[in-house]
This record gives sequence, structure tokens and C-alpha cells, in this order.
Amino acid sequence: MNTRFQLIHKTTLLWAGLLMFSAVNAQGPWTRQAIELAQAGQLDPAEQRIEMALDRGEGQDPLTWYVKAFVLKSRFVEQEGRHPNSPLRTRAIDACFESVKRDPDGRLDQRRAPLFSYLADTHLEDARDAIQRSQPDNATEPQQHFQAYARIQKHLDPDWEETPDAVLLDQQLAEYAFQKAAQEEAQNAGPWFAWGKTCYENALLRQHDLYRSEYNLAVHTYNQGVRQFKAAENDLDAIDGALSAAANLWQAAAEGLERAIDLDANQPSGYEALAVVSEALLKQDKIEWCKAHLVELGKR
Amino acid sequence: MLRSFCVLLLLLSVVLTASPLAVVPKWRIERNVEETRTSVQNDPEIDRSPIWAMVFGRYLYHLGREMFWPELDQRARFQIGVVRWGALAEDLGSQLEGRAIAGLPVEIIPLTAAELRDHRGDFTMLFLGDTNAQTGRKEIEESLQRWNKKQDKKALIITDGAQLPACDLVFRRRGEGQDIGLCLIQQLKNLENKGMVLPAPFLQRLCP
Repeated sequence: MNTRFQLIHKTTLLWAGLLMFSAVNAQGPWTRQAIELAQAGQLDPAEQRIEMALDRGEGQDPLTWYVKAFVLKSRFVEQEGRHPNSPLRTRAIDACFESVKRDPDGRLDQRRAPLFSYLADTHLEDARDAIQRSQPDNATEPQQHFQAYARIQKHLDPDWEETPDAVLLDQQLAEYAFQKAAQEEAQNAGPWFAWGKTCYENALLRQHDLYRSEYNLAVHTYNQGVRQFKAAENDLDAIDGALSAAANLWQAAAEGLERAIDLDANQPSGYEALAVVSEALLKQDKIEWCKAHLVELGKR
Repeated sequence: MLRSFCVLLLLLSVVLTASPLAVVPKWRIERNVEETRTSVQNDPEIDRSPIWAMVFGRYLYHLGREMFWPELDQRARFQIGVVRWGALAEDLGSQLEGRAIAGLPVEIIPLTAAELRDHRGDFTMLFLGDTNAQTGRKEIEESLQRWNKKQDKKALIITDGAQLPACDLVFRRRGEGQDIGLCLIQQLKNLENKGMVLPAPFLQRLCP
């Protein structure tokens, strides 16, 4: 009886051990091969193996999806030179999220995080580069890259706040538009100027970094008026007309600067700029008001 | 019992060394992406161009171009003296560089009030700046008188606001906010004495 009990006990332990082995060692042979190939730099065969792994039922293992993501990311970098429109990156991100889905305990979190971060960063950088290709009323490309970046960031840090980066993107779009408006003065400044204004207005709607957006928009508005005025010199009517048109922009700039000062009355830049604008608008009282505030702030 | 635990321990050690956690590839993710999260755009600089110097400069240029200048044929250059307004002299210099007025090369001469007083020669146009300021007005009037005494001066004398007795024309800033511009006051007697008449576009801009 004792011997029998011992035998049953041993058998139970052996089975328990075997069950544990099979549960823990879920990684399949195809995934293993893919890892070896990827580590040897053979990315195309590695991708083929990982697809085979998924076809042959290894897809329940989050590691398989992680390996797939890594292989696709490697192809995106090494074979496609990080092309901003590469579908490989999109697939890599999807595979990473599939890995997350199959890993409720977060066993691979520490492995995935750098990969996610890397892919997010490439999107952010591409968003920035795409700003240089944006057109008036069309910022689809930078916005799509930004959304992809934001999706990953939110996964990596559920407390991550999207607004500051979104505002920065709007501000950078606006700055690019105003830069184009300055370059294309007289020929094609209008649409760029309007677009820059829209981008800063979008940034303002997000209720973040308001002073900067108000101030920058006002300064660009004033500068646009100065450029327009400088461009006119044919006759007195043209000069007066340009001055009048510029004065409309300067008035808008003055109002924007007043709003900026309301937002942060301790920023000397607001008073300094308003003094310049007020000089153009012949508002002597306002110039004195700005000077008094600058003295208070210890600037003059 | 002890033996079976040993067997299990051995088994577990085999399992763990072969587990996927042990073979998770430790790939290093190169972060060769520039740090963009912290990048902040550069804020724009406000254009500090002297707006009113530019407005006055354009008016002066057009006046020079459209006015009839008696005895201009006796001059080698179209000389514009600019007293106490460096920004205007600079703007005129950059606007008119290489240009001619009435067929003559333009020369811009920036002056202080003291330099005007000591200046012996004449100008085609003499512009007096900063004449509205109480402190400077007396000094500039005195300098103008001293300069004017030296010879028979033919220059068209213009001020930036004050109606000095010796001046021929005043360019005055008008309005505030969106309704701004320049208007002119002519001192007819002085102009007539010099044989000058304002061109029509300027006569349309007389101050009310």
C-alpha cells in the first residue's frame, strides 16, 4: 500500500511537472527559428517563419507577435530606410498591440516598451518632417503621424496628456505657414497666412500654452502688415491703401497682444510687442501704458 | 518523498532554462531618432521696422518725383537733408540707392540740429524731424534760422508735424488705430516765394 501510494504520488508529481513544462514552454519552433534568423540579420526569411508560426497555431503566444513586430520594425528601418509611408511600420505597431492583447499579465511589457517607444518616436519625427510638406488647409500627413504616436504613448502611459504635444504640432504648423507666407509675399502669401492663423486658432482651442499661441499669432499678424506695406510703393493711393490694409492687421495684432497680456501679465514680451504695434497705430496712451508696465517688470 | 521532490526540482530547473522567458530575444532598440518631444519652436520676432519713417520716406520720394523743381538744372545731385530722424535717412538711403529723381542721382544727408546750423550748402529737400517735441523744437528752429541766413536757400523745407515759420510744407500723422495716415499742410506764401506748387495727388491730402 505504501509502495503503491508512493508510486501514485511520484506519477502525480511527474504529470504536474510535465504540465508545467508544456504550459511555460509555449514558444513554438517556428517562432524560435524566426528569432534565430532575425538575430542573424536574415529579416525576410525571419518574417516568413513568423508568418508560418502564426499559421501553425503559435499565435497565442505574445512572444510570437512581439517577434513579428520586431522583424517588421527591422525591415522598416534597414530595408526601407524608415520611409514615412511604410506599411511595415504600421504592421509592426499592429503586431505589437496584438502581443499586448495576448499578454494580459504584461509578461513582455519590458521588452515591448522600447520597441513601442522607438516606433512612436519615428512617427513623431515624421510628423515634424511632414510639416514641411503641409499645404494650406491640408495637414493630414503630420496629423496622421501624430495620431499614431499618440496611440502608442497612451498605451505606454495611460496618464499621458496628449494636449501639450498636439498644441506644439499646431504651433509648428502655424510657424511653417507663416514662414511660407513671408517667403511668398506678394505672390501667394494670402492662403499661407490664413492657414497659419487657423493653426494657431486650433492651438488656442486646446486651452494649453495659450500665451504663446496668442502672442505668436499677434506678432505674425503685425509682421504680415509690415510686409504688405513695404511691398506697396507705386503711388500715393497705393501707399495709403497699403497703410490702411496694414492698419487692419495691426489692430488685430494689438487685440491679440492685449489678450496675451490678460493671460500672463508678467511676460515683458507682450508689452514690448504691444508698444511696437501701438507706435504703428499712433496710440500714444497705449505706448505709455506698456512702458509703465515694463518699468514695473524691471525691463526698462 | 525527498527523492520525488528532488525529481520535481530537477524537472523544474530544466523547464525554466528552456522556457520562452529565457529565450526572449534581448534585442537592443537603437534610439537613433532625434529627441523631438522636448523640441520647442522658436517664437517669432516682431518686425521693428520704423513704420512711420517708411511712410514719410515714400511720401518724400513721390513728392521728389512729381514736384516741379525750379532751377534743378543747376544742380548735380538731388540732395535730401534729413535732420534728427536717423531711421528716415536710413530708409530713404536704402529705398533710393541707385535710383534717380528728376534725372539726378539721389544723395541722402543725415544731420543733427547742430550740423544743420553749421551746414553751408543748400539741399533740394530739407526734412526736419522730431519737431513736435517741446524740447527739440526750439533747437531746431534756431538751427534752421542760422542755416537759412547764410545764402539764398532754395530747398523745399518740410517738417514732421510742427508748422515752423520757415517751413514750406508739413507732413502730419493723422488718426489712430485703423484709421491712420498722413496729411499735409502747405504754407502757400513760402512755396510761392520759391516758385513751387504741390502736385495734385498731394493737394488731395491736405489736412482738414
